[in-house]
Amino acid sequence: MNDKLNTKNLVLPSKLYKAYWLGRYVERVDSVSRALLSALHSLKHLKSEEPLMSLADSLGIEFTKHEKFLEEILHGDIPSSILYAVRNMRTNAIGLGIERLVRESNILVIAVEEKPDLQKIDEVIKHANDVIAAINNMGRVINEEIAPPEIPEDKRQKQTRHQQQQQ
Amino acid sequence: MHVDSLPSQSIDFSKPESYNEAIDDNLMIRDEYIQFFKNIQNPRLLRLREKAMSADLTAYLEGFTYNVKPNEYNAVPMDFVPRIISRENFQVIEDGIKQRAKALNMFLKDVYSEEKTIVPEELVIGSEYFNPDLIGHLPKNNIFIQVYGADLLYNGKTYYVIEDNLRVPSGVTYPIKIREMSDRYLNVLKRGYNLESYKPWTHLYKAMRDSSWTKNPFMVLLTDGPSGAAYFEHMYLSKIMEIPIVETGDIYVTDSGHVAARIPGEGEVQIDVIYRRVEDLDVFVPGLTKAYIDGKVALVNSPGTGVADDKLVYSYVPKMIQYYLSEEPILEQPKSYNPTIPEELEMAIQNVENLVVKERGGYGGIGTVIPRDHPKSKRDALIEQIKKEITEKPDNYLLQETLDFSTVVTRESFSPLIMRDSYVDLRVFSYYTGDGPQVPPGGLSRFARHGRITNNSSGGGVKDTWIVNLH
Repeated sequence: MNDKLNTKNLVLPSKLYKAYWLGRYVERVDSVSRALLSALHSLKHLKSEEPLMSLADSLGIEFTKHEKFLEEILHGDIPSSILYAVRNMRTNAIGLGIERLVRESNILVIAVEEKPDLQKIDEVIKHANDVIAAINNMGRVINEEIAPPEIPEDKRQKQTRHQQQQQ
Repeated sequence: MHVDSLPSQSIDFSKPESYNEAIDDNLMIRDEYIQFFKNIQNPRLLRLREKAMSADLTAYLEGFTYNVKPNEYNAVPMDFVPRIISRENFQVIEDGIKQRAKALNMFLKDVYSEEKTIVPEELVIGSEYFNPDLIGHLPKNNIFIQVYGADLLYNGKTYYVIEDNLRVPSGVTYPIKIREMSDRYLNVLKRGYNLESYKPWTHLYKAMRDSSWTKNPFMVLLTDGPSGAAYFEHMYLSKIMEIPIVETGDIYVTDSGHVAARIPGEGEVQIDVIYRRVEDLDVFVPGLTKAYIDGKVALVNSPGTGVADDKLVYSYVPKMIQYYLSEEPILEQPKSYNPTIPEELEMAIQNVENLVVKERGGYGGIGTVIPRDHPKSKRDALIEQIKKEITEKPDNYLLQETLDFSTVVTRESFSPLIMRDSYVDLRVFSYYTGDGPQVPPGGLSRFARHGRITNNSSGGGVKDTWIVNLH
């Protein structure tokens, strides 16, 4: 029985579990980064800290000063920080052992590890945009590496067997 | 070729008392390195800095890292200056490692066949890695140590084995990855050299197959997972050998005593050989040792091998070679003091300051103390503590003479190009197949950034190791 196995493409339970958590962490980084970006725009254009406070509240981070909050959400050693999420994402990507995912996840970690000047909102906005760009790229690579191959239109039968039988 | 012919001030010597493998006492470049220094005469034109940085970044992005904490990975520092060893010298290493592998393996066979060995019985039984359950259950072809890593130091005349690693030796892939990077980015440095290729995985794969009780074995690599310190190595080996990498939850022992994995889409698949990269087998897979004992699965390396890399047993290896092979040891060992022998304990106590103190079950630098590397202000108290410890628990330690070992040149900066002498060690691997131990030409050269400690965590890095034929 074992002779017939294609050992290169075996999907082991531990890999499935990692794929699941990889996806969850990618989603977390994506959603937190976008929410942060939106709140930063409010801070810049409307001079309102309220969206940041609301984001802090939803993530369970105490809000005192916005600089302190930005430090925590970006690089804090807490489960709700973006850095924490990308590092966990990378561990799962490494665990999957797919080269391109390892590479993209390391690029994403490097992007998040950059430290903008938290006094300069434009810098923080640029940083959040860089992270979102990197996570978009990660999503694209996940899709290319893990998603089942698409069937080209010309190879696809136009009708189901049921429809064919009815004619 | 004199160092004066190199771009000015490009070599900074700080350890003139030690043997430098690249440059002699008269500042003449040694034969092995002449072509290399010719190849880097114009580093700016070669874009050496950019190439080395590209190699570093690529290796990091591809996961060539080690774990500092769970989820945090550091790049393994690589140096573009290779360590070059002549074929003549490497032949001595190769022959010596094969000789040791054979003798250590024969010792293990005797231990687990309840034969008398030349090591005192109380040391064997007292080793924390001795497993009495394995007595009478020998692996296929009586090969226990498919993978063996020996740590060596060189003093310009002789290679010394300072440690044998027989349980789960790590570092197998480091030299492969460094060579891959240097082939990709720094091939220009090899101009004029005829390097021996380094493909150790072919031997490892064969050693695994030869260990199997079945004809067409299904083989896997068992890892402790991506949070483990050596996960890169596990992932990389699994890729180049094309064998699945499995974690603790993936495999289990069936009611019939076989080891199996349940694979979605395939059902239950029986596993015949496990290259295990974990120490505590039954913690990771309950019942695994029993499956090995019953001959239902082959384990690489076999369980129980740690009794032969016990520090006190190590001091008997030269005698093992004489006893089992009727040969003189090819490689030397530093003079050792076994504190369980009263005369040696006395000599060790008198001379602690100049010795290396090793904990019996330690490995890879863990549990090793070098008193003379400690600041003078703290040294006396440390020495007193060591004397007390080795007197109270003599069977817990081995003491060795401190060796003055060799240095190599290592890149310090690129603009301007400055190289510095750094201490270096060498881990050479043997792969025991059905045809005997195989020692591929190369190994892991680790250099120290500061002092003599070459570990990554102490700032040390790794070099490509070239075995070259100069004639």
